[in-house]
Parts: sequence; structure tokens; C-alpha cells
Amino acid sequence: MDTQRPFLVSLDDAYDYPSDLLGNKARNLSLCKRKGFTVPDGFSVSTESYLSFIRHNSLEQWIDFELYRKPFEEMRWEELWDISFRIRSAFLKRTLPAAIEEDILLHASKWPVETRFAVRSSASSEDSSAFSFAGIHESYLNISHDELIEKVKLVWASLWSDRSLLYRKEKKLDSRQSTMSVLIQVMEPSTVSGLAFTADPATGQANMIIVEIIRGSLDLLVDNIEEPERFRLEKSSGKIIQARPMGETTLVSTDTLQQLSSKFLELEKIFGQPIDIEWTGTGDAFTVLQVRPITGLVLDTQNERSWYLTLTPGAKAMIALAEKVENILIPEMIKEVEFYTTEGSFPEDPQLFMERLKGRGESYRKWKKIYREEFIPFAHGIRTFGTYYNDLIKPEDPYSFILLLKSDQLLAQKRNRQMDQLSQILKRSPAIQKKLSAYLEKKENDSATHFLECIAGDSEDGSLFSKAFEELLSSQMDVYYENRSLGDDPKTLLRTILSLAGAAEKTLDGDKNLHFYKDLERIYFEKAGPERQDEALNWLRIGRLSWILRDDDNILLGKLENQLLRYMKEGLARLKQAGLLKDIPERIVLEDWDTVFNSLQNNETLTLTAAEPRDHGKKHSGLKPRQLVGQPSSPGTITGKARVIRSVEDFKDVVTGEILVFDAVQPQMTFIISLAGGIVERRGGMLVHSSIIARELEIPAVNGVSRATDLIETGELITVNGDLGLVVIGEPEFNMEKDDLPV
Amino acid sequence: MNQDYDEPMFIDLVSCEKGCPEDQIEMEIRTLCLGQPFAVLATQGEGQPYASLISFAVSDDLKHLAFSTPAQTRKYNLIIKNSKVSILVDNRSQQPESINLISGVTITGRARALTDTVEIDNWSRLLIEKHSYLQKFVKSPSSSLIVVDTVRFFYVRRFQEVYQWTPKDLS
Repeated sequence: MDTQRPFLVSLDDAYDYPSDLLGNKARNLSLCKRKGFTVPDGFSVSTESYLSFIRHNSLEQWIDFELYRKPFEEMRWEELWDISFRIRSAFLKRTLPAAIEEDILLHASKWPVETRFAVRSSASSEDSSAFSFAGIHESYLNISHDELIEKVKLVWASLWSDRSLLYRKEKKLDSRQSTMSVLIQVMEPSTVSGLAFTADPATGQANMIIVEIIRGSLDLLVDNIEEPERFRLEKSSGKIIQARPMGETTLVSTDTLQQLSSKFLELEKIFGQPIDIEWTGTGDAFTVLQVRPITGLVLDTQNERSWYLTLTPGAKAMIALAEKVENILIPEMIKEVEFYTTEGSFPEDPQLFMERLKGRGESYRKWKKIYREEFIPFAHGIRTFGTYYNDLIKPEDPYSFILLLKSDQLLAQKRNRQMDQLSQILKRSPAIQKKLSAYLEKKENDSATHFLECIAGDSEDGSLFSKAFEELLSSQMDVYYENRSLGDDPKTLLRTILSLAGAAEKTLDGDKNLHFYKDLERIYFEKAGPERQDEALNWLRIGRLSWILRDDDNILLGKLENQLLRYMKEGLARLKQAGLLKDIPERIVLEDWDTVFNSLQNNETLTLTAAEPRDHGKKHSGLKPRQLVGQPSSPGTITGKARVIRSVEDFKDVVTGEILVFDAVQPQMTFIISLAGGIVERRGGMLVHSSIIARELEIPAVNGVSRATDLIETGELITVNGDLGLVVIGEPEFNMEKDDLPV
Repeated sequence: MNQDYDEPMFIDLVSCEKGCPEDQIEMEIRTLCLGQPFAVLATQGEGQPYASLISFAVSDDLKHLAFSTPAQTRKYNLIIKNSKVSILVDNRSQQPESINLISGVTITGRARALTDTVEIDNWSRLLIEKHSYLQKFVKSPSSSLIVVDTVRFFYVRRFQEVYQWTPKDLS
């Protein structure tokens, strides 16, 4: 055995090298080859090449800097995805050491130019008996000679993908110690392919062989594009116990199936334990594509990994989801919102009231489930597009793809335009502005309706303002946010509009550089080339649709929630009146709607589970944060007074130019941001609502600041550094060290 | 929080709602100050800052820090004229690989040379317990024991996260 640690190793020799150099995937295949099985010819690009690439580009410190500047436990999935995305972009833009690149191309050149390759991950701990990493790292199929180097880099980068990082964390593996080798193999055309397990992976039953077969190449099965024929065979007798679809086993004969099974058992004998095999061809053409111990798989099916895997649907699944969301779910949701909002006032009849409460409760439950299971994965379409765009364009700024997704069709933008119109009326009519200021300063509780009636009679602009405000209130503010209906407090809304009128000209929907976007679009399609026009168009369409939806679905759901909240409040009031409830709680938990319903129906006393009080954290008197770290979500630096926003109540105190500190910014209330000088948010990510709005308005923002609303207090002087992702609290001073103070 | 639908359920956030970061930071400061043998002392004179390496020990409540120095040194003379000092304790020598793993604390305080024999005895013992090889140095009649009464601790971790901590609230 070669004592050196080579950069490349042929598949024939791979078994002689340790798994930390080539990974188990390559070693397992090399062993099969030695034992006389056909394996597609190829070679491994070792972990030594990976490390050399990393060192050559000083990526070690770079990854460390990205990944460990915040504790892993405090990072949200979005932040993790962003980090992976930036690492991936960096890998794509870096070059391999020349000698390694030449060596890879030289090795590959022994196959003719028309050859297509499979470029697969073979991480050092992958496919071992303890960790399968199934579906965690990237593999690329049908790759030409010209594309090899780029795909090697992308497979390496997948060592740092969000999935991979989460998997390692779950398995308590140290990401810093992980390396990745890449297996490059010639692709063989195949008539039938499949998977096999020499024990039942779900139950671990040892006397079973499970075989899945499809027509054509294996990727159609792995990507769930085609439904396979599935068989269960008894290991000892070779008898077929179960076949699906029943009686339609057309791809191979029973004899062939049994021959295949004995091949699988031969392989199992070589590895000395139950295995999972990817294979292609039958008879003499039988070829092993991958073998790995089954142990890891049994573990994997039982843990939560599938949760985060569902968030990143594959291409086909994403297209199907887009169809469903656009053509079925959103129209249905809009219809439901319209139905409930136009139902009018609460019916006196208790039976009818209960029916309506139930309708709203069930609708809320249904849409919340859809939100989790379909809308969130679909919102990932933005990221899928971003990845596709960056692979194509390799831009300097990995987030420049956002420019192509811009739209003025968002519900939130429609609302902002309406608010903008109202502030324009105030700007040109100082008289109305003055009256509004006076009204808002009044201590006594004068209703907004009365005020609007007054100004409507005053002038044409007054009437215009009054009408437009009523329209805004009814069409846009029937939305739930932080246990409140935004429409319940028109004064806050009027105050915001007044502030907007006083603020410098800034529009939330500015399309400042339309030519620039058009140019980007042209470059995008040019880069895609004639063969990939449809594909590029499709991803752009999904990206755009997902961009609109991620905003709109929040608002639509907020409207449904608001409908439920209204009915729950009324229901609780009725229960109180009937002596069945002592006090109406301050915070109403929407999930409790059926308890309220039951209590109304059965005339029973209601005891609600107390909603957990919001604990905004107790500050240790001896500890003060001086500088907090988050993600730089919108560039620029600003110093100003902090205003911590915990609920709608806090909106009314916002002074133009203050730095707004949020826990999580929701599209329901983004209008308040137009008054902000800067933004700090606990929820992190480059693609969350606040990041996008802040960049659009060109105000500095930092998000992903853990416990932001606990650690920052309203009134504190803070500096938001949106270039570096820092929030500095207070000024540098030595007050405590002054001479006259007692030591 | 039921508004936060986007909140992923698959990251098991360590629950720090009840003030655990505070306790953690206090513990990290203590670990640094008790565990690190050496520190950088900054003194000043004629408007000129002056940094020196010291072997030090701290009291359990971190209200005091002690080191020994011959009375002829520049640092001793600067302290006598201006008691305001700053001390940097950090673990950079243990973490050469990752900037994010380095932590450091800048302490501000007032230094004084001890004259009371009971105080000298107590502080010598503490200093020698941590640095037994310094026995001769500490006990030498030409050395002076300096105690710094600490005022503030500026703790930095993960390159850029900064907290201010005052020891008086240590319970």
C-alpha cells in the first residue's frame, strides 16, 4: 500500500486506502470490484485534494468565521441556510490548486468526450455502519468533462450544507473535523435499475430481502420521480412474499428476480452484515452502483431528520407544489377569507353563533396545517432559485438574485400604497394635518369615526382622506398580530400615517432601477443558453411565485386568525355574561377555540389554560451587553434611540428615525418600518421580511440577534452596524472609573 | 409564540429564557480569571500608556486581583503616581485555530501597593497557591504586592460579542 496520501486514487486501488482518505462509498465499491462484481469504472478525488483546495484558498478560517460567530444552538434554520449558501458561493468562485485540477482532467480524459459521469459525495464518515448520511450530501449525474471541476467543488461544498450541518449536530459529529472525497464514475446506460435491502430497513427483520425496480436509470427512483415495482422475498427460500403492484411484475421475470437476490446475498456475505444496494442491469450486465451497511438507515428512519429534509423539496416536487399553491391553495384561501370577512356582525342566535365560531376555528386549524406542510416548503422556492441563479451567474454578491424576484403585487405593498396615498393628502393639506395632530394629542377618548366624519365635512381633501382611511381599515387592517386586531386601534394607524407625512420621502415600493433589473434578467437567460431556457424560466417563475406567497400567506392567515379572534372574544364575553367564565384573559390562545365552543354548547363553566406570560427576561443587574452579534442583513451604520416593539401598543410611540427592535417582523405590520432609522431583529436570515424591506428602504439592519428584545431597552442609544452585523449599546465611557467615585 | 410560524421546529434551541446567558457569561469570566496564569497590565504615565506581562491571582468574588513586582520597575512607579489601571486576561494561546473560540476580559480598576502585613500575608498565599514557582519572588523584600480593586469587566467572546459585568453583584 502506498504510504503517501494521494490526491487521486483509481477505483481498483481504493480499497487499499483508509476511509478517512476516500470515504466508505469508494472503498465499498472497490471491494465489490475485487470480489468480481461489475462496478462502473472511475476514480476518487481524495480528502487530501479537498484539504489542499481549502488551504489553497484559506477557506478554513473563512468557514470558521462564518459558522462559529454565533452559537449553533442560537441559529435558526434560515441563518444556517444562509451560511451554507455563502460557503457554497465561495467554493464555486475559488479555484483548485492547478496540479489537482490538471490531474482530475487528465484522469477523466481516458474516456471519450461524449462520456457522461456521475460525481458523488464520499465523505469520510458517510456510508459507515454508524452514519449513513443518506440524502445529505450532493451527487450529480450525467456530467460532461467540462463540468467536472465545478461539480467536484459543489460536492465538497455540500459538506457544509444546512442539512449536513444539522445532521452532524444531531449525531454529535464535529463539523470542523469533517472532510469530503468525491467519487467520479462513468455512467452506464441501463434498461432496469433499482434498490435492494438485505434486511427490512423499517423493522430490521433479517430474513427479508426488499427489492425495488424501475425502468431506466436509478436517479428516477432516488428522486421519487417514478414509482418502482416492489418485492419482498424470504431470504432463506428466495420465495416472493409480496409484490407491488400485484400481478403486474413486468420489468423482470421471477427467475431474474431470484438471480438478483442471490447476487445481493453474495454481497451481504462480503460485507458481513445487512446492506443497502443501488444497482443497475440484470444477468451479466448486473452492476453495483453503491453498497452501504443498513444499520445507519434504520436509525435514520426513526429520527427527526425527515423534518428538515421536507423543507427542501427536489425540482419535480417543487414544480408540483407550485402548481398546487398557485392554482388551488391560494385561491381557496382568498375565497375563505372573503367568505368570513363578509359574514357581517355577530348573530344573536346562539346556535348560529356557535356554527360560525366552529367554522372559523376549523378553517384556522386547516390553514395553519397547510402553512406548515406546504407553504413553508414552497417559500423555499426563493432559495432554490437563488442557488440555481448563483450556479449560473456566480455573482459577487450571492444575494443579488433577489433583484430578479421583486414584485409590486404583494398584499403588503398594496397596503403600503394606500398608506402612502393617505400621507400624501396630509402633506398637501396642512389644515387636516393640524387637526389630526390635535385629535391624537387629546387625552379624552374621542372616537376615530367621529374625527373622520368631522374632517370629511371640512374639505374635499378631508372627505378624500376620510374615505381612503375607512377603506384602508376595512380592506387591510382586519388582520391579527400579537393577540390583537390591527383594526382595533385606528389611532395608532392614524399616528403612523401622520408620522409618514412628516418623514422624508421614502417609498416602500420604489422600483428605482428598472433597467438594471431588465439587464439582469437578460443576462440570466443568456447564461442559461438556448437549451436551458425552459428550465431557467421555470425556476424564475417558481422563485417569483414563492416571493409573493411568503408575504401574502402570512397576511391571509392573519385575516383568518383575526376572524377567529373576534368570535372567540365575543364567545368569551357571552360566557362571562352567563356566569360561566370569571375573567376574559388578556391573551387569548387561538388553539383554545374548541374549548370555548364546547363550553358554549354545553353551558359549562370554562376554565382556560393560562397563556404563558411573556417573559422578557430578567436582566442581571451586574451584566450589561455592550456589543451584540447578529447577521448583517442590510448595509450601513446608524446610531439612534432604540424602540423595542413587543406589540401593536408600542407602534403609537414610534418616533421617526428611531431604531426599531423586534422579536420577529411579520408582513402584517411592516408598514411601521418606513418610520425606522434602523432595524434590529431576533429572528435571523438574509431572506426574512425585515431584511428585504430594510434593503429596499436602504436602512441599516442587523438580525439574528439572540434575545434582542430582552437585552436592548427602549430609549438606549444604540448603533446598528449593518455591514458587520453588530449592535453596539451605549457610548464608550469611563463613568464608573471616575476619581470622585468610591472604589 | 403562535405568530412565529416560520420558526423552525427542528433546531432544538437551548432554552435560555430564564437568564442562563447571564450565568454563563459570569462563569466564563470566572473561568478565565481563575484559570489563566498570566495577564497584560496597562498602566499610564505622562499621558503614555504602558503594558506589561504579569502573573496574577484573583479573589473568589473577583473584586480584587493581585500581582507582585519589584519596587524598581516602571509599572510600580507608574502605579504609585496613577492608580488607574487596566488588565487584559485572555485565552488566545490555547485557541490558535479559531478566532471565534478566543475570549478575553478587560478589567478596569484601581491599584494600590500593600503595606498592611495581614493583607500582605493573605495575598501572598493566594498568589503563591496559583504560582508556586514564584514563592521566592513574592517573598523577596525588594518585591511589592499590588492589589487591584476591580471596577468593571469587559468580556469579549466569539470575536465581537461584548458584555460589561460588575463583580459587586456576584452572589
